[in-house]
Amino acid sequence: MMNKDVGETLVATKDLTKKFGDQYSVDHVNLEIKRGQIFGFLGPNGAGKTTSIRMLLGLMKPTEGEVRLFGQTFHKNRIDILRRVGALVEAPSYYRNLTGFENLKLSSKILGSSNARIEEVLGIVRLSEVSHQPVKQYSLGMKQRLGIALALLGSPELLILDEPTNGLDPSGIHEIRQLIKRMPEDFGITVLISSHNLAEIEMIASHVGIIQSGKLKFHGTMEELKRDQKPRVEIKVNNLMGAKDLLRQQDVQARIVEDMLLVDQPTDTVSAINRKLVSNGFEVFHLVESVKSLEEIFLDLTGKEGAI
Amino acid sequence: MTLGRVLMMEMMKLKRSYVWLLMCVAPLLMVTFGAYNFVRYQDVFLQGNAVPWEKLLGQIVTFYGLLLLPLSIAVMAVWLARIEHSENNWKYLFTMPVNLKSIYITKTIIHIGLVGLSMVILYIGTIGAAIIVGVGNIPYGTTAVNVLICWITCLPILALQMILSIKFPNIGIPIGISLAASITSVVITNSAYGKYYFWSHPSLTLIPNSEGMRNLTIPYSLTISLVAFSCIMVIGYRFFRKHEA
Repeated sequence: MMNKDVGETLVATKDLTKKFGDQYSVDHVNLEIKRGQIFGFLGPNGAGKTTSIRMLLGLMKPTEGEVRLFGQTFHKNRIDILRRVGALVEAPSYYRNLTGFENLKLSSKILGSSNARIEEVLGIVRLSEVSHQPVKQYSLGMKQRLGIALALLGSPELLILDEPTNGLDPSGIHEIRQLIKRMPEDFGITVLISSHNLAEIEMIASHVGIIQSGKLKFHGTMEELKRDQKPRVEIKVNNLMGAKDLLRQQDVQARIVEDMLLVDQPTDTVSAINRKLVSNGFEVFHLVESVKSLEEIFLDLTGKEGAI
Repeated sequence: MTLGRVLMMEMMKLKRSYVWLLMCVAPLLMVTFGAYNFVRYQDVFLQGNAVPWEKLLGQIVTFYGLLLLPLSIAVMAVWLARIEHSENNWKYLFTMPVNLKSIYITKTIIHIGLVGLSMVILYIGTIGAAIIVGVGNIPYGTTAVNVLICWITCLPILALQMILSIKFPNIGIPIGISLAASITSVVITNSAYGKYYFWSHPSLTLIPNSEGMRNLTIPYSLTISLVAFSCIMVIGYRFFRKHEA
């Protein structure tokens, strides 16, 4: 199952745009997700993740642009597409008067899943023991897991999960992350997961799309995200202002942050910078070439107001 | 057949949810009150050459047809839509590989069925009351036909209430509109305009001829109700399809 057309594009959007009034909620977004990926859709709250996902699932019509899932459009192949997709959008859906099993059972009427499959997905999300309790007695984490079970029920090729760990306690978060990581290998399922949590995406995603104010700021693999960033140089010297002036005369732009001098775009090697400072009588007692952490990259891309 | 499977799914959603009992309680309540009233004021009702059966029927159906029936239709529509409005369920429903038309039609079929349940109980209850009270000749056949026609005249009201309930998650709007329409019908039903007002049709169909309000023929009722129902369903489905979840 896993090797079926690896590299086939499952999700493609072209200039996907949604406007509410004058406000762009999603602004010309081009996404491409291939079979076998775990695609992390990352962005601060309100960046346009859920709106994008709603358009991907045909729940909402784009103002402009196009969505293709499995190379097909909703306009013509809505049912064919949805048969191959499992989704959990925002909060989990359920009928509170029914048990967990019954909630899955009613979906199985449409999906054609067997009782054995229902038991299987209940097992995957570890709800087997409580499957005959009414959902209104479930904790938030259990409801969330039921939502994932519903999404998995029809054996989808593509799983779309919108903030699936929202509101869960740490052990619940850990459990759902472990579950999602298994999807491509164990079940042959390609995953699109949205999150505002960088650490989460870093832990589970193979590919990432970063969205901010409706615009896609980055799209690629985790490695590419890190590789694109040049290292910067941190310097501690006895006279910060003097050192900054000296470097500027030598065409090296530096800025003072607290007790350090930072060179963001070093044109010289570290040793060359060091030599310039030392030969001009400065005492250099700290000199480090540092690579930005993912968090810093993320903040640079999304702006500080996007900090979580 | 897809529709059958969607219908099974929709029926399952109603398990352990007892709002539908209202459809049984409402007609039974009116039968009881009507029969009680009839027995209590028999002397007044049966002056001259009044037909006891018609007087009993009038006691039961007047208030029911004008207010309780349209209102219970509104409550059922709200209930059927509400199970989807709560807990984010439209979103899930719309990501299932199922035709939106089937969902809309099955919800309406269940709604029609629930009103039918009310009609059956009204019929059985009224006949039962008539036998117990002892009104003499009971026109079983005619009454059955009238109840059936009444059911059909409910269709436009029911379709309209379904649109309102899906469109507005706030239950105040569909219920408020239903109340206003029912109260207005108390005035309109007694006027010459009753035949143009959908909320007047159920009571006009049920009320016995002798009350002098009945100016609807069966073909007229059937035609106008079915045509209106079809139009409202088409409009409702167009709204439904554009519903963004």
